[in-house]
Amino acid sequence: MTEPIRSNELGGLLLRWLSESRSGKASALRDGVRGQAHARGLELKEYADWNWMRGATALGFIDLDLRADRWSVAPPVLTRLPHADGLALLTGARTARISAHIAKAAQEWMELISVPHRPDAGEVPLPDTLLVQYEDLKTLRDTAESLGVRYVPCAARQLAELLPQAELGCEAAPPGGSTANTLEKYEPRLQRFVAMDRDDEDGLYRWRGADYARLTRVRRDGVFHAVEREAGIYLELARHRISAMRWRPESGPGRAGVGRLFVDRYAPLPALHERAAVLCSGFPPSTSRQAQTRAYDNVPRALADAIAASLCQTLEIMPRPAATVGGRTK
Amino acid sequence: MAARCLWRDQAKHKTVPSPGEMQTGRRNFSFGDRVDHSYEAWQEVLAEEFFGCQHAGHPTLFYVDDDVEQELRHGYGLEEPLTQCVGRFLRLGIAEPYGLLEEYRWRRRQHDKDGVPAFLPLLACSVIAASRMVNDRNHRATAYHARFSELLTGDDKRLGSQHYEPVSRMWQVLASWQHSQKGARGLCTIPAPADLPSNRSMIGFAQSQALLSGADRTFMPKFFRSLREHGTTWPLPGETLLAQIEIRGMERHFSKGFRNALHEEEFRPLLAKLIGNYAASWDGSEELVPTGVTRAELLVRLDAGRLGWVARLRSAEQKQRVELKGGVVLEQLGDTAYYEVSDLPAPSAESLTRGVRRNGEGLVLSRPASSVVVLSRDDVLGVWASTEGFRPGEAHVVLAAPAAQRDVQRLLDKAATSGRKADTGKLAWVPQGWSLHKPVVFDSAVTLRRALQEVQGAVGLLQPPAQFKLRLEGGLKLAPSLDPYLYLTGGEPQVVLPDTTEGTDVLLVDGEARAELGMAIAAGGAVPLAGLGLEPGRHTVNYAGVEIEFATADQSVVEPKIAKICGFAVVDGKAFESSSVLEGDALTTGIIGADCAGATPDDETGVTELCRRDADEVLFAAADGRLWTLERPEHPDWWAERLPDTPLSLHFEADFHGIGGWLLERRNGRWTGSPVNPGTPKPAHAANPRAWACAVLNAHQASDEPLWAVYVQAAKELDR
Repeated sequence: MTEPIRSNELGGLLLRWLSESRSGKASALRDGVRGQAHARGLELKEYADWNWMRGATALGFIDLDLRADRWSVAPPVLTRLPHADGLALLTGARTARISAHIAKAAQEWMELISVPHRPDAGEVPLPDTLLVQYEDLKTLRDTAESLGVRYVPCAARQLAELLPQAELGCEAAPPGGSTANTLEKYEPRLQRFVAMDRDDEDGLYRWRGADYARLTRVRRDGVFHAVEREAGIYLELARHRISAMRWRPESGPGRAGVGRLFVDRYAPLPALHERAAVLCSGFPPSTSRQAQTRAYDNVPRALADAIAASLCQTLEIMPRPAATVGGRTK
Repeated sequence: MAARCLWRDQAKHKTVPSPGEMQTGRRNFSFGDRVDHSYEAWQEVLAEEFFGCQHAGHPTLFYVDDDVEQELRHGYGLEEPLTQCVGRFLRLGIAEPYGLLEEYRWRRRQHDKDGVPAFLPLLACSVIAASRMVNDRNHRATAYHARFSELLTGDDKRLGSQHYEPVSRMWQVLASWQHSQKGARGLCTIPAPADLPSNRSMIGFAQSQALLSGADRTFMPKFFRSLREHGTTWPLPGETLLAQIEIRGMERHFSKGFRNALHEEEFRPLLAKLIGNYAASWDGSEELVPTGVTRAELLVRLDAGRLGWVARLRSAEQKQRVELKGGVVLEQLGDTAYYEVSDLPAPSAESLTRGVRRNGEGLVLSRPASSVVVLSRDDVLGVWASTEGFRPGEAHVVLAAPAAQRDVQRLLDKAATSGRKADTGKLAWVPQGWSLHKPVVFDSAVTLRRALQEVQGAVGLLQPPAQFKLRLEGGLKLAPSLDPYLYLTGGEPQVVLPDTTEGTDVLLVDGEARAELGMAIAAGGAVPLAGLGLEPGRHTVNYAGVEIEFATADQSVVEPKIAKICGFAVVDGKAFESSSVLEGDALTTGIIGADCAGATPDDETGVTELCRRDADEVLFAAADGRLWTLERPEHPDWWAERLPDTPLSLHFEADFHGIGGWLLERRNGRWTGSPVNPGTPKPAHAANPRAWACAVLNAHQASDEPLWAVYVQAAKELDR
């Protein structure tokens, strides 16, 4: 059950670096990810460095403020996974000191499951997922204390209560000035932004601001409103009544309240929604190129509903698959 | 010289220290009793004249001959001749005659790390010596050291080739510095060591700068113009330009030094490269380097499916808005060196191949003609923008005019790791008739250089920056502000090897050649040290006689102070949409990573309990008299996919929301009970109170707690 911690792996190494450094510039983090991947001969996709940062953020290792070009490492946390039969997730900072505590505990008394990340081709591996098996809640709190990490009862469930509602932000200036020629409009049919010369229709637009930073704005009734890109896409999908989210309950008896949340790739979840979904299993979403979806495991129906509702989506419930017998869970 | 004098007059008032200023010591970086104000003044003048901001984006030649020296001396009012001044500070008769000057350079560097390396007066003398290399009564044309020695000591034997190595090294330091400025202080024309003939590996640097005199450079635009009038593809490779000079019998317009180099097999490639660089950066103006006028570079930008322009202005003074003739307006993007360009037609096949030039007051916006456009990701703008050459390891977009497509394809076939096949998607933004390759990546700098050398033609000038010295690059630094050479163990940097002439040097890591580095070691290449399994501690890398030290550690020696914490602020029970730097109360109530404890109270209304899977029976006796039998659920589906081995699952979860009672488990005939917000039992009004009472009485030994005894008592009362 217990596996040694492979901190020499790239994902673990990067997390160690972030944990020991504690905070810094987002651009330097990006260079570090890209540089170490190249040094190991990895051929990266165009945005693999950003994808790694996004993944590490969703998993609760770091937080980012891209506008301020900053990152900081999150505190180390032990938190329960919902409906996971006694599994808790260790996330946040993983300094040498914390890693040593974990390794020692795993050798002596703690049931630790260490699962290496299997990245898609062209992506940079994320840190291993560390799961702790517990028998009752009191021992889980004690375990957190022994490891020197914070105990958070169930981050996924708690975040569900805090999810912000996608809505129009404050009124904003329309496109104009010298960067007006960078205007693009989100085309729901094509599921992407396309170059546009005019902004005379309602919809989701983006363009470059005076400092060439990208601005995303929603136009409603002729008025432009500030919005985050991900939330803006969901507002646009809602306007066109397009569904981008499905949930399928698990097949096993007694597991109907937990399932897999599918989200279309062209409509990525906002950062906090993604974190809530990821912290249900401790694993980044699996991606299906064929189905063009990201799938989040072990998401309770109530959380899936909360995510969908806060993004103006009607959650589509897929039929429950037939129960499988045998396999590795036998 | 006339054009340069114009600039010099301006510079004289702006930058050269006054004698009074020098005497106060404000700009005297402790030469003190060793190197004096005269040397310092020469350094200032040479730096301003040859490496000032006016050269941004232009090839710069550090050309100094006797005439130039005199003009500078008189123009700037310097009293002491350059050679005399330098000669005074030599320590003749010992192995290191330039020790005082090197010492001065290091002292200066401590005060100004980014400034021009402070040995320009000595290097200028080395160029003067090279400019004198013609047959005369005293020396053969090839005798360099005798001339250099005579120039500085009055005796042609006091400084020999055995003393020259430090000068050669200073040239490489100067080149390295100029490359590090990314064109802001002129494009470097000092050749890479690998480009020098083997018998000129030391003196070739100085000679390269003496190849084109001021008169040669003044004539160059006329020559270029005459070629372009015939409608040829532009820019032409350097060798073709030299051939054209010969075919048209134009040698007579050039200096003797140029003519000599033209006919010398070993120097001709250097000359070709130099003149090719000038042709590639010539924007069609009357002067090769417009002096007294700031130049804004016009770059091609690819963003949001459109080709556009963006200007880059690297001068110290940056206006927010600049108006040019023809209604073109430049507007600064934030506080960057980049400007949005308005009212200039988007890049097209014609404008790219012909070049663009717009004049303004004291500023010219220009882009030289080119038949190949190479774009790479610009970290400041976050988009693709044109670049001067390929950068190994990075992705590029390559656009090629029909005339250049054959050369581009040959280059990619020889050296590219990816992007060899042209994109035939007929994207609307690709100029008509041009080919598109993307993403083009060259993993090996060495292979790329060799291929560029072989193919030449339209791509010959797209060389990656030359490497002049051994240096460390990248790596996961642990405390860059405290120790820039301390890395996390496993995150070691890569070592960038200089371009050496031999290419046979051995890279030593901690004194040993490492077999696992194998093919990675090549002159001019980057060798990753990560993966060698270096133990924490101090390490050295050694190559071609140069050694660099660095250290690795498993963790921070001093725990760094966390400067700014990012997270999601929470207001009125809802989080913000995006994370940001948290301040004040937001630090305690925000969501940081998975820690949302400050944002939500522990959810005590909902309780989760673990039930044993091996229990024979699991019941929940609620305080209100209801009774549930809890069935064992199946294991989670996702375990099989996600976990390497299925955990030995001993428990399953039961959630209780808004209800209290006792959880009862029977194993091997024994009952155990756990309270779940049990409260006071009131079972009488339940639908089936007898079943509840029966279950509680069956399990009456489940717990010794008084709260359970209350339940048992309530059951007994019902059972009566």
